Amino acid sequence: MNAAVLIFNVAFYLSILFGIAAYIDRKQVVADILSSNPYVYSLGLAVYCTGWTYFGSIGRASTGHLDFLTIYLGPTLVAVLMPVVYRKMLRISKALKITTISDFITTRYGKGIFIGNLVAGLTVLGIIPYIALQIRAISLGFQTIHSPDGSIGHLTFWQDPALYLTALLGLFTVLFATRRIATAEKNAGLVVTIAFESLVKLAAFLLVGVFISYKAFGPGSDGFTAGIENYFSKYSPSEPDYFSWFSMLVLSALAFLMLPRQYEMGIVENDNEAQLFKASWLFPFYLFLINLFVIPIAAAGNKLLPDSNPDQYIISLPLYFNNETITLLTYIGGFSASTGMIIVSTAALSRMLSNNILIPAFLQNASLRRLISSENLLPVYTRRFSIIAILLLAFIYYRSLSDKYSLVSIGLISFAAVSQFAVSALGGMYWKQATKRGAIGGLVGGFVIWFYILLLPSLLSPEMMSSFHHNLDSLGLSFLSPLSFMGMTDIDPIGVAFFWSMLVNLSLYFWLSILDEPSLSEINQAEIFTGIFTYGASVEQSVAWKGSVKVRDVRQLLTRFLGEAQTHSIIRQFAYRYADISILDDSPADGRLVNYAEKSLSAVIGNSSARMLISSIAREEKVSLDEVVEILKESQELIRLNRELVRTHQQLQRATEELQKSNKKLREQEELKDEFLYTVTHELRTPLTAIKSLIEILVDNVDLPENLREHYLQTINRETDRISRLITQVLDLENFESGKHQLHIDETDPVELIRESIASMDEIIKQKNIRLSIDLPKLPKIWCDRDKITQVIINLLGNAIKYCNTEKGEIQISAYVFDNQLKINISDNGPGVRHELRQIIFEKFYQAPNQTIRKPKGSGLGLAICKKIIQLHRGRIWVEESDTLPGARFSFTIPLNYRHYD
Amino acid sequence: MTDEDIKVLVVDDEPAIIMSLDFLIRKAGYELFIARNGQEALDIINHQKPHIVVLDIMMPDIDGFEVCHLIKSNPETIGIKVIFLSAKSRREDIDRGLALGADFYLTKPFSNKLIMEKIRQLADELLRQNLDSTQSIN
Repeated sequence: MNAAVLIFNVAFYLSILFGIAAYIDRKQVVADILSSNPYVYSLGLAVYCTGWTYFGSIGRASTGHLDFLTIYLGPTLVAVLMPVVYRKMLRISKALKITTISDFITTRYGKGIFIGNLVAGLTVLGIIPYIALQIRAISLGFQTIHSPDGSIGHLTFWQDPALYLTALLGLFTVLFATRRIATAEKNAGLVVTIAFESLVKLAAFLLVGVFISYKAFGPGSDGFTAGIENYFSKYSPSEPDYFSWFSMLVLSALAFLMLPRQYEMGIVENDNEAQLFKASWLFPFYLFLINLFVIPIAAAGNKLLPDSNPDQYIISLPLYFNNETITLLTYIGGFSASTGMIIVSTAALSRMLSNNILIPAFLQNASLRRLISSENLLPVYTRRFSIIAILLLAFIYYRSLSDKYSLVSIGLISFAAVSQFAVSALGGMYWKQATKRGAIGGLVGGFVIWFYILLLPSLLSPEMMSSFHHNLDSLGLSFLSPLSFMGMTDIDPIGVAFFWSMLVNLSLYFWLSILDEPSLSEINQAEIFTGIFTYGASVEQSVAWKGSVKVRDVRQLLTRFLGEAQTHSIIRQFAYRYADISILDDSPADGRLVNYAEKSLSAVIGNSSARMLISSIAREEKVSLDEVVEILKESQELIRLNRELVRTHQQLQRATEELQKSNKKLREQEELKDEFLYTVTHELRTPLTAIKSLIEILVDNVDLPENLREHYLQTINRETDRISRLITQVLDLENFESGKHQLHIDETDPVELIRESIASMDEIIKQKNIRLSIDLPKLPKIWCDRDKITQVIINLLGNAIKYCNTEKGEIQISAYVFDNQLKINISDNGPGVRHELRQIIFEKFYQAPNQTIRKPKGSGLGLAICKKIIQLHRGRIWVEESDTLPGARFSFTIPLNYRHYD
Repeated sequence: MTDEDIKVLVVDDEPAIIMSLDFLIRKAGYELFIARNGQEALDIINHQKPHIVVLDIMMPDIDGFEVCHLIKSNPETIGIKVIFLSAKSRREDIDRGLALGADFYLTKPFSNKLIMEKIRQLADELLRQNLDSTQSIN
């Protein structure tokens, strides 16, 4: 294939990645939605499947070993148990704002600089070969496509396309993983890009799998079955190696928990715990899918291309079938698998390198510090520097890598390295007695074995290795040789190394811890780590701290490293959580504020640096064991008080929802009240406007004609009445609502009541020449507040008079008993009430917020008051189309036996 | 073109407010049109082509914002000057009104002097423009 086509497509794919990340970083809303999505989260976890999965599994399967499956079964096991171990790790990390596995370990064991250096250094040592391996996978694939016969020969480093790709990936990581360092926010752009890459590699792998199966074994299922059977018949008889299987299973499970890139995607970028629950089946499902075609492809490769590199079957097969599109797709799939790993691993490692090694070094060394103009740039600079350094080292390692190692074995070397952390990390989560000395001892011991058996042979040439082995052999010390350690010659070196390193690690960890006395800060942290579900998010009140420092100094320290805005927001969050603690500049800082500041600082620059800085500004005093115990007891006491609320997650959830709901209700009520005030003042303003304007006219124009003058004065008078009416109504309504207006219930004759109400409007009805028909049968007496019901009838009648036809006005009043209710109807022949207004006219608010269409003129609060009165009588009031007249009909009901309700 | 040729449309559903604006605008010498709701206002705008519209916002049918939007989005009426005169005094309402292209936003209760000053200012502007274009034709 033409190299230019390949390069063009790779460049195109990379530009898509840059595009996605840039887009997401700019669209906060989209970023929020996607980063809290469980599917995106699960796809992010799939960064686990690297180029090694894509190429190496097939290579391994081609030799008849099915142990590649253990590498996916281990994480599957962890995933299924996610709600247990993983959730605890997540809780601790979130509560203490821990962002790397090295900070996780060092926080548990008292935040020493040495242990931080150790863990970070060992991780870098263990992972760089792994990154190199991904670079190799990319470049091998490139070479296979470019010159399948391998004629390309040896490239000088600047001819190597891998150099430029590595540089681009470095740029990507710098751009999208170091953007929000100061605010310690999540990198949504990065997460979404990785999720996208996971989709691409899965889709490509499945497609290529189908393609190769079809081409190699023919369309029917028979050919396929035969091909697979043929594959198995060659290898199956051998006894499965239980030791290797078991150790690989455990190894990959631990690695899944401890790998920096998994910590980055699974813990740091986690948005909510609900994501875990979904991922616990989604992620295993992903692993299942991506392994589906491994064996068919291996079988096809063994059958058709027995002499080529099995690691490259997935690319050489489509080439063999002469299909350029599929070849290209395969390559892009593999490319996405490798780049995803490189980007996330580099981001995670750079965080460790910067937070555990570089920043502490800068802070301790004044001459180094002078290199940087402003301290809040320090985290960004060291992070970027680390990214470049890591990729450079990985590239150098890749260039010097000997070809004798398959993709799988280099990957497993890294797995074996990071799984060493599992002892102190998991141990620290469950075993209170564990101490720093135990953790350091175990780590060093485990890593020595790892280095000796696994890394050393990969660094030395095979000749050097075998002469070393023979020398030991001749001394009778062959059991010490990496190639036959403790006489375990038949077993895979990975299994041997894993077994012995874990044994040494665990023993040292256990015995040194037992023999050691934990420091007070370790006792404190051990309590929090093991009991995180008890302590919850308010851990700062569970850390014993004694000393004196002013709030101002804490603030200034935070500002130095995090900038003004971020500091402000941290202090505000604290004040929100602990309202009783003073955050005034001159007051002495409370221990909880100091702990909170330290925690926030450590999220950005790592915990050992944060510790160092805090102790540099504060006069710290020694805390006694009694005080540690006391503060733990206190905070546990505090927590026990809330036990009822937090006993189960669901309960908490429910309580929160409830709270949110009532909060919303309160807020709405508050808003409604505001809206009411606004509309009332608005309604007052209208007559006021007219009055003011007309008075101005009267004052400015003394020579106004008498009739006009008279007219204006009358209008002013009318508008003044309107204002006073409105005020009366508002007060009335207010009295009803606050319960000041009580009903005075009496036995009343409804007919008499209705007639009296009509009588008081008689004059105006006659004046307007309105035809009024009254239909009142004999009605039973009712219990009601006579005056109030009269007020309702007068109001409704008043409206009918106002709105009925001006030429030939007509109003009908009727009343009857139905279903134990007295029903009174008042109809008119006016324009009626439009559908959409039929509810709103009874509301006290003139319109819903943000609406400019208003309730009909002059309706004021009268109907709202009517509704209130009728409601107090346990009746109903409404408006509909009249069936006897063309206009509206207002009706209300009152229960006959209102008295019985009391 | 003189003051009498300037057509002012007042859109408001409050008779008492119309009463006073009616007096003030006529006294200033402009020709006055009155609309009591949005629909009426649009009819008058399309048929009479007023120069200045004094516009209330809360009306029973089409609200003032909408009327202003329609004026400003029609190339034939885009040149009409708009003064909002409303009891809505919130910042967001004022911003919205001005964003729609209104020339002024006055709140109720208003001072007669101020509203007339604004109308005069717009009218003078129109007269000046008219004078310029007539001169350039000559």
